[in-house]
Amino acid sequence: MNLDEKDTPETQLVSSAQSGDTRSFELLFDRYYDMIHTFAYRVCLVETEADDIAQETFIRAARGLQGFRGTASFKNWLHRIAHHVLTDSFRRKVRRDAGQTEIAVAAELESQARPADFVRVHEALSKLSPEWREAIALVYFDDLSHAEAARVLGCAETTVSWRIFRAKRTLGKMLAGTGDT
Amino acid sequence: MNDETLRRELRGWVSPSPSPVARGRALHRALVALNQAPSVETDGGRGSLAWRFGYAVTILVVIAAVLFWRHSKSGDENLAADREMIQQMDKLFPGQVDAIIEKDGKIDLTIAQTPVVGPDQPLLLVFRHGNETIRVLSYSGHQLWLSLGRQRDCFEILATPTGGVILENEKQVWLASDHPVVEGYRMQACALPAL
Repeated sequence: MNLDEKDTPETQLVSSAQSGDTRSFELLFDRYYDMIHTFAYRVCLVETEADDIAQETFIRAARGLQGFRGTASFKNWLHRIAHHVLTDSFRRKVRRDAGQTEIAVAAELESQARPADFVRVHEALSKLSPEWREAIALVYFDDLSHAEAARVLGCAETTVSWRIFRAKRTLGKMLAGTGDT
Repeated sequence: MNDETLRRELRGWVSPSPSPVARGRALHRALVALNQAPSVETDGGRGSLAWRFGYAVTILVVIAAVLFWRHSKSGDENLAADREMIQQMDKLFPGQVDAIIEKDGKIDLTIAQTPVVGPDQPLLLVFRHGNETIRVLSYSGHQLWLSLGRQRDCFEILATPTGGVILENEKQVWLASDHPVVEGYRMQACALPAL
């Protein structure tokens, strides 16, 4: 990637990608893949699932690129697609077997040598519902405002605020060592 | 634990970096998706004439039969007929059916040229405005182009875990349970029952 490509404005890249320019799409992928993968991991807490969620997000983004009109930022548009992919994924899990999710999350920590601090936060996050984790991931990690997070999640701003409030209370107790489930 | 401490603690939590293999695979598949025509519409979309002609007659026969059967029934039986219709279409074109749109007695079948994803929860959406009714059969997670009045827009539909349906475009989100008005059309939607 040369310097010019790195500095290309996002709107120009999107426009070129919409015209079928694969190089522009690759540059958008490079800019946002890690962000979406990280967002997915913070919500599903399993690395292989985050791989799948991020992949599906970009496949859907590629298929739906013609529908992107720039009324939201490209970053938030990708977040919203990722949210839909996550929702579909969790819905399928509920249909299949909720117990398997807990096993997968636990196996994530056992299969990898993770530092103690990482495990502590991972375990605390695993006590939250996926909806709460999404709100925390968007607002606390990705610095979206409650209003922006609400647009990504397709819910009212007050719902986001409520989820954040409940999630913070649970996380605070878990991380302070007093426990809460 | 106060807010600032919690924020600091969470910010210090670094999630694993994606593997180069996962990244490469995702990029490859996304580029394949980008290079494929998103869908072919029967009323003048993309795709080879031969391909379209090859299935057109079969589709018309199946749709006509199912429509005839459906219009002789009502309520739950009608939903079962809708389910039957989309299932038959999916048997003919596994993983390729994006949407079946019925408007003023005319059927538009939107179908991908190659299988994209496995079928998810089938959904029925009905839009009414005056005497006009548009019925849409599709799957959760699919995107579709709809002409509502003078507006033609790309929408995404999604089933919720509680059996509800969400419709959204780039600007707005509608919950079917609110019986919302979308571009002037009253919307009703539901998940289709299993056969």
